[in-house]
Amino acid sequence: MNYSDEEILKLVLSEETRSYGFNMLTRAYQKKVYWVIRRMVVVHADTDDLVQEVFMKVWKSLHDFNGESKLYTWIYRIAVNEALTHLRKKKRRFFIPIGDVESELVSHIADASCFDGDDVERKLQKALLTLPEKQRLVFNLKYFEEMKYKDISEVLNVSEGGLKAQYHHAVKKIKKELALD
Amino acid sequence: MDKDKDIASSDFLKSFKPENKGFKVPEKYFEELPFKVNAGKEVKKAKTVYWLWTGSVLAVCSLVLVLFLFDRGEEQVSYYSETMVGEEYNQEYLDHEISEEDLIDFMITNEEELISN
Repeated sequence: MNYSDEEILKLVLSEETRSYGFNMLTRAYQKKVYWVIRRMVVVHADTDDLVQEVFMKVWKSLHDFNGESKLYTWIYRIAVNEALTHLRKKKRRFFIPIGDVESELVSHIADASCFDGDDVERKLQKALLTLPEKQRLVFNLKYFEEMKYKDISEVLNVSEGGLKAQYHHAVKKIKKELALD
Repeated sequence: MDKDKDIASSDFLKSFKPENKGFKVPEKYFEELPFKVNAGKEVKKAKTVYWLWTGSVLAVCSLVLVLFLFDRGEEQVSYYSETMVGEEYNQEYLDHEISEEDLIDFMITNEEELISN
């Protein structure tokens, strides 16, 4: 049974139906959260860990959710933060320049056990990895998630105008990268 | 159609289907709920704690054992070296056969010593 965000919130915020409501919430957002993170961190095992972290954070802080933002933009914000924190930790942990982390991610894209898309998809993913993190994120949310600029601005706390400019630059760079490839 | 030409064309991003992600996901992955105990990390943590404890306990035990053996050895060495210094074996004493009278004398002497103490 599919519930709307409002119904899920009602279930979660009621003491009696909290667990059931949370199950409904995880069912509704499992795939979305997974793909937002997977496109950023590339590796499935890391994504799996981060998805669990996201839902643990959602579970712990649901009672603080004041309804000022939409439930889905709130969950996306947590997911995005987890993904970015993971990438930063990775860079700090190995004391290696950003380029090396990205070349590591590119190697995962080239690995058939991680990525089984066709040449076109592989080239697009490789081109995406040449973008700065925030630009890649904006591109992913707009292009793959097909989110509205208004919602992305809620998730990333960036003005809509800024997002449009970032997306425009991202597309330009991707096209350039693909033409070079 | 040439694939590379298609990629480089300006219509590429429009024609690309977002559903075709290309990333591999384990079969039936989405059938289970993701909110569960992070088993991988928990096991890793438990293993680390276990080996840290076992390692330190073993290290302490080995240290105590080594110190104990070393101390005992030194005690024994010092005991023998102190008591045996300057003593020489007296062949006549060693060859002497203990008779019944000697034993009785020895026992009487010891008893007298005990009484006097």
